[in-house]
Amino acid sequence: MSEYCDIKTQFKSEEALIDALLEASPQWTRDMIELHAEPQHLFGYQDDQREQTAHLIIRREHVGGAANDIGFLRGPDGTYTAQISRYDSHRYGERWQGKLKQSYAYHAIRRQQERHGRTVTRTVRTDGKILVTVRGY
Amino acid sequence: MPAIPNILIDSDGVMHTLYTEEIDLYGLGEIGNVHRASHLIFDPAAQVWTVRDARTGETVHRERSRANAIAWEIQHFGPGGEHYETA
Repeated sequence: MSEYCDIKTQFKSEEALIDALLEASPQWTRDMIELHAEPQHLFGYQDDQREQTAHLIIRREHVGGAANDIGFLRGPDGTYTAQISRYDSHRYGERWQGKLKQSYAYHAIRRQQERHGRTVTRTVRTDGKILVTVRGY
Repeated sequence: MPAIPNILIDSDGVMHTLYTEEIDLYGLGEIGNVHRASHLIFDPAAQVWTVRDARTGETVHRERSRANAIAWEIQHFGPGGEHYETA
C-alpha cells in the first residue's frame, strides 16, 4: 500500500538556501551572502535603514541598480521567510521565488540524502519540473 | 534495503512523491494532499501478493515476496513510474 503526498517547500536549511540562491541568481557568489546569528536591518537603495531584519542578507549593490537589500529572516520554528521589497519584486518576484524554491527543494533533498551516503540526481524535464532520484540504498 | 520513491518538483517548488520515511519529508516542508496510490492485498487462491491501482481497482502486479511487491509499488506508482498519477 502506498500513498501520494505533496510537500510545500519551506526554507529550513541554511546551507540548501545558499545553494539555491547561487543557482537562482548565478551572478551572486558565496561571499556576497551575509550570514548573521542575530537578525540585522536591511537597507534601501538610498542607504536608508528599513524596518525589516534578516539573518541572511544580499546587499543592494549585488541585487541590481537602485535596489534594496534582500534578506531571509529565520523564524522561531527555524523556517526562513524572504524579505523582498515591493520594488525588487519585479525582478525577484513570484517566478524567481518559485525557481528558488524548486532549486532549494533539490538541494535540501541532496544534502539530507548525501549524509546517509546516498547519491541524488536530478533531471530537468521539458515542462520545467525536476525529477529527483535517490540511489545507493 | 528499502526502495526510495522519486520526487517531482514543480516550478513553484511544490514536491510530489509517495509518502516515505526514508526521506525526512517533514524536514523539507509542509506535507499535505495525502491520498491512496495503491493497495497491497494477499490473494489466498493464487498465493501471491497483488498490487492494485487505488483509482481503478485494477490488479497491476503479482508477487510472492511482499517486500518485492512494495518495492515494485514504489518504483511504478512514484513520479516517473508508469502508474504515476499525473492528474
